[in-house]
Amino acid sequence: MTEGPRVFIIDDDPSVRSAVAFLLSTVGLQAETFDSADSFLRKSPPDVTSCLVLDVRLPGLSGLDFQRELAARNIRMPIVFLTGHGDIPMSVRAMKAGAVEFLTKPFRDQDLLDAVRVALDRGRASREQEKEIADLQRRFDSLTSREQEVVSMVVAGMLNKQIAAELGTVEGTVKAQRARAMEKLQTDSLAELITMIQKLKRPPERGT
Amino acid sequence: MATEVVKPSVDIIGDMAARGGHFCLFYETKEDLRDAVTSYCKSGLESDEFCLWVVAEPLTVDEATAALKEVVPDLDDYVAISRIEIVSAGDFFLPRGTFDRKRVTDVMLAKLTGVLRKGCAGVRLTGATSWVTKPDWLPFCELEEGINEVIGNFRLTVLCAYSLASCGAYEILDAVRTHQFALARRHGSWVVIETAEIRRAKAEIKRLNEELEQRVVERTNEQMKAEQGYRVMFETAHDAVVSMDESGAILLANSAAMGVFGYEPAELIGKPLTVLMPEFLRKLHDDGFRRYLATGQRHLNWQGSELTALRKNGQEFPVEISFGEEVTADGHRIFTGFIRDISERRQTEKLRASLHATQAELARVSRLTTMGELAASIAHEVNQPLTGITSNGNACLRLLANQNLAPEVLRRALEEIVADGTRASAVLARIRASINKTPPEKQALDINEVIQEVLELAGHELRKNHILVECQLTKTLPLVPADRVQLQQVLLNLIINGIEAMAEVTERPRELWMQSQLDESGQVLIAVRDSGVGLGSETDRLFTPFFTTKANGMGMGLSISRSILEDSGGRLWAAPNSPHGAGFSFTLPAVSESPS
Repeated sequence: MTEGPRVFIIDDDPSVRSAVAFLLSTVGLQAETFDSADSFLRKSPPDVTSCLVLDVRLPGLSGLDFQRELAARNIRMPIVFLTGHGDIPMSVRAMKAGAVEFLTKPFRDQDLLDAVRVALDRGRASREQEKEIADLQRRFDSLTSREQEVVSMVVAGMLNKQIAAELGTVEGTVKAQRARAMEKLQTDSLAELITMIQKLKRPPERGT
Repeated sequence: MATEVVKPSVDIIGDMAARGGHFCLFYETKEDLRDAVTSYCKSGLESDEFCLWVVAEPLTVDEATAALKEVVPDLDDYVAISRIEIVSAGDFFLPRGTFDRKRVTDVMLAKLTGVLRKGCAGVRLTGATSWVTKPDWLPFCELEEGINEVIGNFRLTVLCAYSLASCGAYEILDAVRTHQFALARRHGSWVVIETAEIRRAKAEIKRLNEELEQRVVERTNEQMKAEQGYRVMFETAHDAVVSMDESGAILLANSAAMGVFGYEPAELIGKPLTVLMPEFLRKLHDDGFRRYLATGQRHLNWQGSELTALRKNGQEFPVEISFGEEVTADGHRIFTGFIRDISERRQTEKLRASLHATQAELARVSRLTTMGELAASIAHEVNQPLTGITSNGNACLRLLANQNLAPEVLRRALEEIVADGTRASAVLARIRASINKTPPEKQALDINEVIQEVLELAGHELRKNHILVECQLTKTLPLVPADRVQLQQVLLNLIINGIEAMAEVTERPRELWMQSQLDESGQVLIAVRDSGVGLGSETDRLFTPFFTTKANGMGMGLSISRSILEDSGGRLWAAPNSPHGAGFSFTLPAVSESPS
């Protein structure tokens, strides 16, 4: 049985942490609190839909540095920023780096709850996308290296004849390899194949 | 007018000629003349001088040449190398039959410069004056006087021969007057007659010499007195005076050195100057001094450098040093320093600085309050507990709405709310105590721009109080150096004062005049005048801290404004406005043109 979504609150102020967790609990959200970015990073991320509520001014690592650090560790968790005294350049930087929302303390309770909801939705979508890509990757990995080569050339827009010339073989062989690859990838349309390969090549949307 | 000096020497002509000069000779006979002139020329040739003999009656050129050849056997050689010329007066003085003084002078000067350039030791001229006719006498005297003028510029000896027989008394007087010496043949021997002018000149020289001597005596006395004065100054000076030589060793120290450094002057003599310096300065001093001796390049200001010195007891203290260098008569370089202990002055300065800092801080607090910056800096700290309070409160409200609020949950939330409230007030108290203390930032400001900004800031108050604002701003004023916010504060302060002074005015318009202009001294002058109740009799105390006439005033506004303006090199003063109200004016210096 899968657990419900989780909100991670990182704020150096204990009263803010506990009050925000209390507020989230009133809409049935489970929250976990941390007093610093480090203490959060020491814990391995759980395999559930999750998001972060993060004060931009943290002791040690700043909120924006932390945002970069997460990206570097390939942890894609949507972030709701809180700030005691926000300025526009700071919020712009945060939003550009993929923050869901940038709230100035003290915020309206509904604004925080809405932001957390959006963040969790994005987190859920992102998890699904990650799962799909992992699945695609598994299928792609089951291809022989020659089949992977043929698929790359097909996606690049080459005709069977051209591929055969390129690989020094006959068109019939290419045709057979292509059909086998499509079968393993569980698709029967060229358009779907192209989409699949593109998804594999490109990392998922940042912060979603 | 003339005194006779009997010269025993027979060869007096040669003697005279050897002394140089312009002299005349009165002869009686042709032989006298011949002997005198040949002797004159002979000694000239022997001393390597060029000789020009202008022959006139009673001698002829041939007779003169023959006579000279008798005493100078190799005369022809001298003639061949143009060392001597024997010409007739007619050819020399009267080439066209008339005497032209200017032409003769020019010819003589040309000849002189010519032969001197050839390397002769000097020039000897001689000529008889028997050719001079009555009408030529005066011009000839002028020629003689002309010779006197140029004779100092050349190594020139001139012997003019006059016939005693043909000279009247006037001519003799003229001749004596126009020559430095006169020679006369008397009783068979030559006599030197010194002219009155020479005597006067000699007397003058003697007098000058005596005067000079007198002066030397006086100067010496003065110098001795001055030296004594210096000695007194040196010994009674409050500052330490220490001299050192080129090696850096102390030569001399006065008794004040004892008070300043704690050393007896005698203890210091011979020690290196660096004993009076803390360790960290010694190498700097040695290097700098060596460099100065070698290159003349000074590494610090010789007039009033502030440095650290070291007392005998090891205590370091601040000093101000001025020093000078003198070179003694025997070529040694001596360096003398005047060292003033400025510990007390430093203390005063520190006190003044801290007073200034306090004032600046007051100004800053006041400024923060005025501009609402305080609110901004409080926001962050206070927002934390506020977030706790609102979140807890909202959570409780939500649970209450769902009828799901357990008393235990409510109690915990309320406890947190109370704690956060207490914390917020503590934050406010702490911030009030530690408002940031950054120093004002001076920049070049357009005063008119600042006035406009402040009028906008005060716009609401001005409209609310129905005040007419009249601006007379001079365009193209120079920029002024000031902190924008501080300057705004000063202007705002003056405007608010004006508004308050007009609060009770109902029988006349409430008017506020803002004026900017350049004053006579090139400073920017700003005036803020109102038609309010006026200053009363307390004008003098207006700028005293904590003096106020307002019910709610702190009495700091004008005092702070004045210190802000003075800090920027300006002045602030008050004067009654005519016919009603008060006027406050201030000046600020124009920003200097030089880029900095």
